[in-house]
Amino acid sequence: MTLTQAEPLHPARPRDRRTRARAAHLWLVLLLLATAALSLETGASGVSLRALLTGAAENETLSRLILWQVRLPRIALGALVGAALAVSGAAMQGLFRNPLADPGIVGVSAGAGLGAVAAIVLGGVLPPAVQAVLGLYTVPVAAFLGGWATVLLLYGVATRGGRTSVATMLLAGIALGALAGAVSGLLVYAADDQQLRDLTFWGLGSLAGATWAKLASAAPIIVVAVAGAAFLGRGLNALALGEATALHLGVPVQRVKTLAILCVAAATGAAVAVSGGIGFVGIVVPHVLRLATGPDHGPLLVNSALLGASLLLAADMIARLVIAPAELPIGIVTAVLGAPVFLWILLRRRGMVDL
Amino acid sequence: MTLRADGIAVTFERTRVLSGVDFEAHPGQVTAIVGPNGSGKTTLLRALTGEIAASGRITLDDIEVGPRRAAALAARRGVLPQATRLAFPFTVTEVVRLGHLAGPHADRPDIPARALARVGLRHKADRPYQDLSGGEQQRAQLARVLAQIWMPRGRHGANWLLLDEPVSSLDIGQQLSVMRLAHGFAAGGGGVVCVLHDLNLAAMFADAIVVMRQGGVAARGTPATVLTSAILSDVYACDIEVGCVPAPGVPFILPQAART
Repeated sequence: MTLTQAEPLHPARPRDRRTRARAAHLWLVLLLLATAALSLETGASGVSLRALLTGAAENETLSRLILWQVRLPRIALGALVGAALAVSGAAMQGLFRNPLADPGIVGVSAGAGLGAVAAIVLGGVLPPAVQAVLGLYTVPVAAFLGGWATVLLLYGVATRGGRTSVATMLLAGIALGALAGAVSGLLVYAADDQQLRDLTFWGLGSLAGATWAKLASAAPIIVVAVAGAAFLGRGLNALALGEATALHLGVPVQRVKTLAILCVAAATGAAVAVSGGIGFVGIVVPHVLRLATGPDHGPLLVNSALLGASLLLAADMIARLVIAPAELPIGIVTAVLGAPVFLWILLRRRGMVDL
Repeated sequence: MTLRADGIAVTFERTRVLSGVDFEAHPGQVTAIVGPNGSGKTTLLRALTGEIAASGRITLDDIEVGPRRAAALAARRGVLPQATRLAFPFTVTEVVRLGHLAGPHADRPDIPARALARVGLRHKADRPYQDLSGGEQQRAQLARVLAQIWMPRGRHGANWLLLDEPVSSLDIGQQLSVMRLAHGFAAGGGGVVCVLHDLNLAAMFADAIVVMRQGGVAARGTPATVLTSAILSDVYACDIEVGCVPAPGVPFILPQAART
């Protein structure tokens, strides 16, 4: 207003968060490389890449087999799934303008799960031509469709006139998740023996079954979804001011929303298809990054992918080592780490979820 | 070179909230929209911005107003909503930068700080937006709009500010400086359309006034022709006296009522 207020010419300002967020790209890449290397070195079998390279390995063929056919695909899959879950979380929170939105919490993972179960149980009903085309991708694509339908429904229910009600979003998410779970349960009843085996294997919710083939079925979808989400930065920042204001800032709101929903559904669907439901990565990772480097979605989405990948690799290491040679489902590890964070956010922002 | 609406109507859930409204605002002027609560002031402004669907034609300098021309409109028009809540902990500067990056002067990094200085919020630049008071948030949003548009005129001609009750949370001194800022923008050749509750502010700063009643226009014209005891008493359904501040010749509005 008036310029008469005494203002220092150069007020002491904290370092610009933009620089910090961009510098974090590099640190997170290093963290991911370090976690992946550590992950490759550790395992119940005691096989080590270092030993193999220095010629100190006891059984070279076995070592090679374990490293290349067991650990490496598992690490690649873990990193991809972690990136997919964290980016889905970040993109969904931006879309719903709410730090509590997470595919696992608001039913999107359950919807994707329903898609996957339906593909396993009912996939045989599809015309052979369709089966041939989809092949390996049947389960991920069905999971994507299930997730997509859930996000669309959720957005339709929770958003009125460009405003998202937090309470409606959480409650509708619970309802949709429960419904998807119930229908999945019904399908399990209808499954035959072979399908039940497939379902059990799928439903373990871990990275234990990682193979190169499984990786190949999910990797393209996840890579495309994560890369697509990286373009959402400006749009989601503007959406934080509300849909109307985003429009007045020249943002193609409808296109941003559609792209965000597609990316969330594809990333969540592919992640659920290959690893079952792994919760809380999507809520913890973006939240930690927002605290550290600010809420700008440009760097946030990229950093989420990197940190999500590292976090899931670390969680997988814990899952493999705690009760070795047996394994914990990785979902338990992420829930133990993530649930307290979720509660903490909820308590800090209790005012926002008032009914 | 005008903001024009011909016979626009808006319906919310089968209730007609605006019907057959013609509207025109010109660059170089502050056009105030006044009227009782629920008369359709904000709905009219939101229809003029294109954020709600209205039947009828709305143009800004021959650009068809609507979501499809969002980018072209953002280059010459800023819109201030009544209140903006943020879900994420952006700082005040980061909020202002969101506007700045959307405008035609995104290559001038000095603008966000200068926009904040113009609304008297330089000292809050690095504070989280959510920690500000209501009035400070309103001024931060105004700074965001200013950083987007910045100049009253651009290469294509006049720029526009559409403001929905920009002074509703402000103290009397701040109200005057925000209105002065809007007036200065118009004096520089830009167009300003502003929803106001305070008739005296409208009398002091508006060049044209549109009085709304029950979703239609009850009166329009200059402050001197519109702000009369007869029109206002009728529209607001109470006794209103209108005097005149002698020196600048500005009407002043005084409600007449016993305290019981």
